[in-house]
Amino acid sequence: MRTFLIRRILAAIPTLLAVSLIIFLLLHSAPGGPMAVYANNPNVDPEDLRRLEQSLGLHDPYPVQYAKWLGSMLTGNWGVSYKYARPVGAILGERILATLQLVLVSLLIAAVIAIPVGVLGATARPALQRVVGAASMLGVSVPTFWLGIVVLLLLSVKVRLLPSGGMATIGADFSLADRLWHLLAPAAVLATLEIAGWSRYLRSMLLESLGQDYIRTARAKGLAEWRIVMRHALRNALLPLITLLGLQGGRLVGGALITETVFSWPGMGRLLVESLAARDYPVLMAAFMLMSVLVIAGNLAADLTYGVADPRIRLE
Amino acid sequence: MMRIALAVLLACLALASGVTRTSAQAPKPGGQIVHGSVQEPDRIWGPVTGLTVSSEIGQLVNGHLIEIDDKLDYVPSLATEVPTIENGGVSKDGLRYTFKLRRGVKWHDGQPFAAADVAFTHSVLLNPAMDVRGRVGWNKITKVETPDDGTVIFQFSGVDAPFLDRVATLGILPKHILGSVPAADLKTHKWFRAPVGLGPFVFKEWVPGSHLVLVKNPSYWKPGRPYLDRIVYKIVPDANALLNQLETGDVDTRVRLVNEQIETVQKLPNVRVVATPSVTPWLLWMNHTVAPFNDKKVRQALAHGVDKERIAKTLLGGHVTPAWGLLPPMSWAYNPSAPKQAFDQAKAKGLLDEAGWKMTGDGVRAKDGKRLSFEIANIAGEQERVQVLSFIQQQWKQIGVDARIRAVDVGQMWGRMLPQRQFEMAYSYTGRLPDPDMSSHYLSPELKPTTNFAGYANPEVDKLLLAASATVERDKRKAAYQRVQQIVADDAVYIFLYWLNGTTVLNKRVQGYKPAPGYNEFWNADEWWVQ
Repeated sequence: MRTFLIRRILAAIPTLLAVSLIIFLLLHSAPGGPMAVYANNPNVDPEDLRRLEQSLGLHDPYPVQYAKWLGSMLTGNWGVSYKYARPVGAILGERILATLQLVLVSLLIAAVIAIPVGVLGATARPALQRVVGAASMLGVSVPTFWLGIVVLLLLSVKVRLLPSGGMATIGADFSLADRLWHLLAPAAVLATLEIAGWSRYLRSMLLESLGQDYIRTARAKGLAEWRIVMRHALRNALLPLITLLGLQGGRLVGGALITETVFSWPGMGRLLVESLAARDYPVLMAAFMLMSVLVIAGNLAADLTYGVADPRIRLE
Repeated sequence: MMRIALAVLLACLALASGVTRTSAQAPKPGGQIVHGSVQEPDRIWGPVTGLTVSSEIGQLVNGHLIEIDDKLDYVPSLATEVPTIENGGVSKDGLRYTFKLRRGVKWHDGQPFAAADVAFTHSVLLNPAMDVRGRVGWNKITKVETPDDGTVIFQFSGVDAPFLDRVATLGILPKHILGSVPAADLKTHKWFRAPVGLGPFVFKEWVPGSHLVLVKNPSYWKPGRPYLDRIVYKIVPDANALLNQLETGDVDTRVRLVNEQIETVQKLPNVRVVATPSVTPWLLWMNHTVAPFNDKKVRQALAHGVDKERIAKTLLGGHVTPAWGLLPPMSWAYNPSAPKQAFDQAKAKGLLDEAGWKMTGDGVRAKDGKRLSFEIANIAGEQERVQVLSFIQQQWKQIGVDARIRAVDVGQMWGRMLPQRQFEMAYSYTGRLPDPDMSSHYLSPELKPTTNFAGYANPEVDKLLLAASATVERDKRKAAYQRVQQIVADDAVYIFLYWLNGTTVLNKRVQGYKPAPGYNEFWNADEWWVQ
């Protein structure tokens, strides 16, 4: 177990280095640098542009720039945002907290709904199964931006039930109730795709499990049908879902751009897009690195969870 | 004439939206408004930002020596009068400006405002450790003198004709807060995110990605102002969500409404829509260093081949006005008699024939075996721009010109294509100051203009522009600029398309808003009030 962990963590280092190099090259080879937006500004002349680029170190050759970035990253210095002139760590910190709340709550909603729906889809009467199948197909197909706007239009414009966006009531002190009230709509919209996807996945896994020999044995023993499904089939069918969840790690920091935009949620997705438009390299590099770390960590966590969920799997 | 027409237009708009009916009431102090913005500010000081939204917050919080009003005139603010040659504030040679400061004005933290703050602000502009975007003009100042607390004198090495434009947008920095900060730490100092200013509103909080809160400055130098107790500047990144919030009243005001939403917003019962004339033209840049744009006749023909009136009226729903040159009709230097290449396909065809571009079998003209075919670069993302270009493309096809639209990214357009002149034709707006100086767009490339992306070079224009920017006498400048407008219009340097009006949406309870062309929509926010 310990050697497994150590081996996996060591294996992550070259992966992260390669990822950082690829991201660095992609960002820097995109046309127009951070100062391009000033080319149309009558107050900024080409001499100013050269001076600014020099001060940001953008005139160094790529290998030098990359080495400088890597060196300071390793010492824990993530640099200063070109756009906001603030330390990158502080900027990311604010946004990650917002995104974590949104994504975690939506994953929770998705899990709570997707599992019963998946079970229903596999075991209910054929007519009901078809209804569940159609509903989940609809859930997969509906675009998030449309669903978000419709939810806002119905629940916050027509019926003033939910807030029109944001994370909290402006001017009010923090309260859990207020936060949950603001979280409900964006988290539910974000969960829709997951609910639809996971439940379909679970349904097919469950159908496969239910055809296995051990299920026939359980039935022969005279176990109640719900017990067979819940105890024997579901446990096995859930395994692939753990992999799926592990891959969500990147989203915890990557955010959910469309949902965040529609619901004015101050998360990472919006920060990333704004930083891309401004070519704010320090913010982008740090954010992408964090995402890769979390994807790797998520996969590792999924592997570890396998061992718990399925005692047959041994981690070596 | 145009000025009168504009005034009439504005009056009609005002009548239609019911301004005159309600503005008869006396302003009532108190209350708050929530302003919705799709963009978030970065740093709240004009010289270190390229974002209009940042300048908007700066307008509310920072103090300025002078301001620009809704008639594009300078008005005093922290200076007690606008320096001119007549009042002795500007020396005859235009190399010395003296500002008399308003006394008794206090910073938001209670410290007194003095001439030293102004001199300090200038030193920060030129501080090498500070990432000030543009130093154009400021670097011509050789000395800043403060003979007493109430006087600032700027001494120049050469005339900077648009200097007062720059002064009007420069927020003054507090020396008592930033003066002792080491140069290297200045750039990241928290003042630029939480400014202590001299303006009508005091900065209270900024929750990133969510909102900013500004509250009334109780000791603002204008007695009784501002009327509002609070302005909440709310970030709503999705334009449709913002529309919802205008409808529900969660948001009271929004500026720069996108054209495609104007008709929907006009139907909302609780808001009014005000059009603001703009000083920012949209145009087609042409690269004069490559064929066929190195031929004046081709450029003129292309200009004659575009029906601007139809673009403005039909395609863009009347939300824009056709543009014929770099200067808006409301500018004091505007030349109404400069040639206009009106829509005339027969004339366009004739000019192309004269230039040697003959019609061929496939409907596209050719000369010496080369087809009259080129690429228009367009920043991807807005459907409206593609519609405008597709319309132009169709019109040019009728005169035998093959134009292809190429979608590019913002960085590609402004970082590579235009500044390095790696384009044939490009579609965008162009940044302008209210001052009519046109050197940025028309000086020959060797004189280092900032935005002459065409590579246009004309010795007579150079002479006129340099002479005009070497004096502060308005009559001399006006005569030179009128002549320049004549020449560049005949040369068809660029194809100007339209002035994109600003559209402001206000909840009907918000009063006192006055549209100001080409300037910050918050310029008179101290006069806004709510019913």
